[in-house]
Amino acid sequence: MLSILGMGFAHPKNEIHNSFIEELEIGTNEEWILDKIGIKRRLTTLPIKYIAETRNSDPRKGRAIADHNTTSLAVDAAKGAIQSAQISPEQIGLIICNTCTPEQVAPAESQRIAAELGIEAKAYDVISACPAFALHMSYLSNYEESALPDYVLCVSAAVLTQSVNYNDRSDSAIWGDGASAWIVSTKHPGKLRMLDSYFTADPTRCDAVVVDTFGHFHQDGRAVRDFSVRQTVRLIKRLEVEYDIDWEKDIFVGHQANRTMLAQITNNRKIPDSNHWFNVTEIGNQAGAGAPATLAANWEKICSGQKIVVAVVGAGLSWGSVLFEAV
Amino acid sequence: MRQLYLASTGYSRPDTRLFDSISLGDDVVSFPIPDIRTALTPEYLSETKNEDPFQVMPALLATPTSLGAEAARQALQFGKREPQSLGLILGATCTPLQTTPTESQRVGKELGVKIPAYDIQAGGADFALHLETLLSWKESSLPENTLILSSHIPTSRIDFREESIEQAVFSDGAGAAVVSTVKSDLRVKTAVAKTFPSLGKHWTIDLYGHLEVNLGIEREVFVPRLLELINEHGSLISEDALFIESQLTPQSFSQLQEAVGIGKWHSSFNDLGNMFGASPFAALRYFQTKEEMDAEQIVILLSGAGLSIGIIILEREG
Repeated sequence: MLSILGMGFAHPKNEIHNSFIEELEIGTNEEWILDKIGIKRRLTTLPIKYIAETRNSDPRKGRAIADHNTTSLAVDAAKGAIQSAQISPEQIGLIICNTCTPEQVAPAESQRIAAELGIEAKAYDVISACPAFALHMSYLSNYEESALPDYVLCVSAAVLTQSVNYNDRSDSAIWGDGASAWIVSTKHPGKLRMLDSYFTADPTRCDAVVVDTFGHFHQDGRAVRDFSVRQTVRLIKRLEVEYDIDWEKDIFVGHQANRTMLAQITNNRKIPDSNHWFNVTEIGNQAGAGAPATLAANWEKICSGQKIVVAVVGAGLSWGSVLFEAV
Repeated sequence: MRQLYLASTGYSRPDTRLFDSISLGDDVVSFPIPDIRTALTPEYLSETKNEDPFQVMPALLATPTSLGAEAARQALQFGKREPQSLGLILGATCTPLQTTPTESQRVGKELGVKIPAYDIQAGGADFALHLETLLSWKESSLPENTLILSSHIPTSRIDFREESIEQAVFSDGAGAAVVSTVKSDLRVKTAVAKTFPSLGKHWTIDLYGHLEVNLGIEREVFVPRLLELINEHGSLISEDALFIESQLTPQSFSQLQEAVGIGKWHSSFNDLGNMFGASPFAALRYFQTKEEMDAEQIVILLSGAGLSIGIIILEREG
């Protein structure tokens, strides 16, 4: 049985407020942003002055001037997870990483993280953008327990603000940057014991969310929003039925796409605000890093006996869920 | 360990021959230049020498996805399977034109399938990594048929402004295989991939930049580490095994062959070039097509970015 022993997260410091986006004069304002997506602030690796002056029209320039890259955020998150799990880097036998904003396309992001941490273990990328948390947990749960090393480091990181065209009013307001990491083991007990995991995809709809390597992020916003709400509700419903979820004590963490979407989901499932953890309002959508970063930030709040439902959706199109019980 | 079978393989290459568009001096390499293929138009190559890979999109006649889908269809056809028989796609590319969705998902779209699809990539040893992964899974987690694929267009990342050995080594292409739980001719006896993250800096492609490879790593890293890997699996390898290697240049291939000292050896390098992680898939299909696969045991050796190496041992079922 898989357990999570510790978690870490990292975010950049530069803040994009709604007033800044309004000042870009791209046909949106603070009121509209709060009403439509409920995001108050985003954290970015890009200098704010650079965004104001260039709108990141050439993502190469943004990347060159950024304070952090995917690897540096991922390494900071990984160090936090290693510390949280109270292990040493040398004990890690496998590193898997998800990113849609790699610093290099070779070697793999996981291999760069391993090199930075001084870990000469097996390292490769396991990628499906936003639902990475469910993918990684589901992927590892497929293994015979004997085939996994004592400790696995999972990482999901993205710096999507470096791929945003800040002349686009929809994309400008959504994205933030971040990284999250967590230590998984089948051989050592941890704070979170996994009870269920699920991951799947519909590749026929993969063009709905795209990050062009030599360009910007773009998506079919309406189609993705409808899909995201519908699939997340389905994912939660199944777990509610099979595992007797009690929203008076159990916790929901969703894909940190936007606050309005999350509110539609929690309203549908009657999940009280007190039992819904999120960080999108203050950090923005961090792609695959958002949900695990939220969980990591609330790590100390987790109470024994609590069940935690994580349901994530996104590019691919792909979606999945993980259910934990706190030990 | 599960019983897994390599039901079929396929590969695909662009139609354009690189050396119809550019020239390379006789003194640049010490081996016969392979039949390198490129996804780029001859006009783009001759006019820009690919000075800025960021400008490559309008010049592409093929993409990792189009090549990957063609290789996948070929593998499905040889395996007498429909796309709808697949339960999972594992993909890999070091030269994505989109960092989202994944290559596996783009190829899945081309095949019209609604199934789990994601990328697992380590670099040159993707074929071994994919098989090792599936061999390590619980029986209940394995679909009957899994498509694994690796697709790359390295010429889109090579700087052609000055002559270099990379121009004579790396070719565009895709490889795919159908891995099945249903018994067929080739059983996967074992598959192992290893990575050496501290050495990854010797083989890099910046997100927007050119391929930079220190080919000295063939001699210094790949040959000795592959030799270690072969020795670790010595008890599983028969004296008359057929060794297939597809990514080393001829000198390093000979060095490895001599050091191992057993078996019959095939290299596809002269005919196909090094197509990154796609090469081992392509080599297997290539030699199957040439009917040069009469051995009872086939040992496939892999090496490349990561740095990563791998070994796959296939055995014929009676």
